[in-house]
Amino acid sequence: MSFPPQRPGDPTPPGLATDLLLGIVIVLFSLLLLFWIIPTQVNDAGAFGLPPSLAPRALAWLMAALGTVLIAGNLRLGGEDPLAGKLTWQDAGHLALCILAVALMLIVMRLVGDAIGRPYSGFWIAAPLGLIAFTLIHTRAPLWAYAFNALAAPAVIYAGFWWGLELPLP
Amino acid sequence: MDIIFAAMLDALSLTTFLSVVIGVMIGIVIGAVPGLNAPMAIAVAIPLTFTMAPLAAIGMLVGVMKGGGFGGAIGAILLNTPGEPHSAATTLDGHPLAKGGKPRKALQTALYSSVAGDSCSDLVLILLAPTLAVFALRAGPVELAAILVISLTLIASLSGRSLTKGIFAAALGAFLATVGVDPETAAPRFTFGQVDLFDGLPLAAVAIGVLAVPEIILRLQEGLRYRPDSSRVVANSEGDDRLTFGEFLNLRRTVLRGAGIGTAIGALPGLGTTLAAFLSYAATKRFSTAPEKLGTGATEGIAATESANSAVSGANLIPLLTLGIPGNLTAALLVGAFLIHGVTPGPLIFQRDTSLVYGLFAAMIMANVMVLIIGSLGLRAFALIVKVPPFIIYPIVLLLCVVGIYVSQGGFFAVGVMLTFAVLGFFMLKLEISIVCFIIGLVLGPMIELSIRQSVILLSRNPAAILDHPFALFLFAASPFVAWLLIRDRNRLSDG
Repeated sequence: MSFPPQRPGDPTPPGLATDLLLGIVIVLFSLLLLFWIIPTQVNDAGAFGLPPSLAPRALAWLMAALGTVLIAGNLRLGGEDPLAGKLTWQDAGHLALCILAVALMLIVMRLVGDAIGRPYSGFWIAAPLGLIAFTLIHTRAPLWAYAFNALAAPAVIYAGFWWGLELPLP
Repeated sequence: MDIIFAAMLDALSLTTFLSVVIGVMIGIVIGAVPGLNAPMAIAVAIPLTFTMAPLAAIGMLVGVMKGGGFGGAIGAILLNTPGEPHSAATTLDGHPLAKGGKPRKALQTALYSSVAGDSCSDLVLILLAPTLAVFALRAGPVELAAILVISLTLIASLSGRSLTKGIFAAALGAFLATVGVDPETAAPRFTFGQVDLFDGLPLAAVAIGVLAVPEIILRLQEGLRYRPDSSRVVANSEGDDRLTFGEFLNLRRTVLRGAGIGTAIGALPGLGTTLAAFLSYAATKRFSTAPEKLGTGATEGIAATESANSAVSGANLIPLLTLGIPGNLTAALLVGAFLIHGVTPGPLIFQRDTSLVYGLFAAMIMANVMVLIIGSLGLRAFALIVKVPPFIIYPIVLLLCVVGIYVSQGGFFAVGVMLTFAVLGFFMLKLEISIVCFIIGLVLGPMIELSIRQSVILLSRNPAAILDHPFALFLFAASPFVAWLLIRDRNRLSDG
């Protein structure tokens, strides 16, 4: 079995195809469901027909089987499955950055909203900061774009949700 | 009859009318933005409908669906950037025609063909659905279970590039649909002591999380390399750049053929708009008197693809309204919207919510007229949307997703669910796991489980009674065969 030389940015080292890892994760997840989560989270007492745990169990077994198929298929192909997806550390880092930005925006919104106690007070502080962060994550935009995103966009959302739909935000 | 007239009048109320108009505008605008598409527009619009009456809410989402259909053509024609796979067929002739100095003609052809195709399939829906619902009402849980199983087989066999991953996505969606109170014993499943999960996972938060947010995160990532290049937009007219009525009349055969293909394909779950668009294009090439012109900027090519892919949207509601089965992503999101407003799609909808169904039919016709009017009047303005820099659009859409879920689902818990599913959706996108299958599995899962459990209770005393359900037996037996046929031809038929 031979593997092409790895290039910078390649998703996985040679021999470890993304789908092989995916198959392993699926199987482990299914086993976790079957032997821990389903037994502790579903109570079969009082069922008249089929037990409530039957569908989750059947689906978990199905997922375990599909994970095994993915593993077997990749081992057979030697890590060069053309249908495999691509996932890099940069992708994961970017995802974490975006989720962190949204989460921080929500935390600020909640804290400021709770402290001031008036509708949209948290939004007016957190949303411009969040939008500036999202724009920064996206690209180096001209200054007017930051200003527009920080002021005009929250104003339109505020007008639409508070005056138009009468829905409160913290 | 009185109910039908009352429903039509309901649809003509100012609230519903404005909802449809706003929906159409949201659909066209979001559909025209490169990288965004109609299902994403619906997902983003669902939270906006929470405080609305059911008809106004569904009418708005139908408006988004129809507006998004035409909006997708704008980016495809002017920027050669299809927002959805089916719009790729429109670029074949749309972009060359626009490049040849006729962008207005290309957009007008797309608009008129799209509205004509959509109207034809709506007409088929309005005429067929009530009759089919009567037959569907005769089906018991055993037949329903069989229909659901074969539908899911069709969808899983055709969506995405890998069958294994398609089935896994559907199974994961169906598994996550079991979160909440068990329908038979009322025992909580996978709630981890969280009262918020007793009603199941909030569908809008899951849909936006898995569908819209990961796409935006991907676009934000592209921004590190991408610089807006408005010079690629082809919007300058040369000479006479209008589609005359006579020219459109000459396209009637192409449009009708496309509408027929789109309607037939849309009525079957899983086959999707991409197949309809390319099949219609191929048929037009086959029957055209000048097939060599297709691909070089022929209005025939635009009319063929736009009429077919728009016709799918109306026909998709046939299995949705008569059986409760969503045939594609857009229909699955509409199921979510129906459920949020306390309406369960399926044959009983024609008995329980008659006024809503006929109001919906009227709203669909109204939405077609609005797409035509708004599209015609705002052609120049909508053409400018593709020039709006992405660093303005994507951050705002991301904030809109967060705010929409917060206000509609009642707080930070739903936003947390959305972010969790955004992570899942991002990995699914990167690993090429079908999100369509996941969402449809999530929507169909509870129905399949309930119908199978009801069937078991019905047959538990006499298992041989299954022989009294020959239609169900036939469908169960046909499922593996259908799957085998589709897998064999999946490269030709696949939507993704």
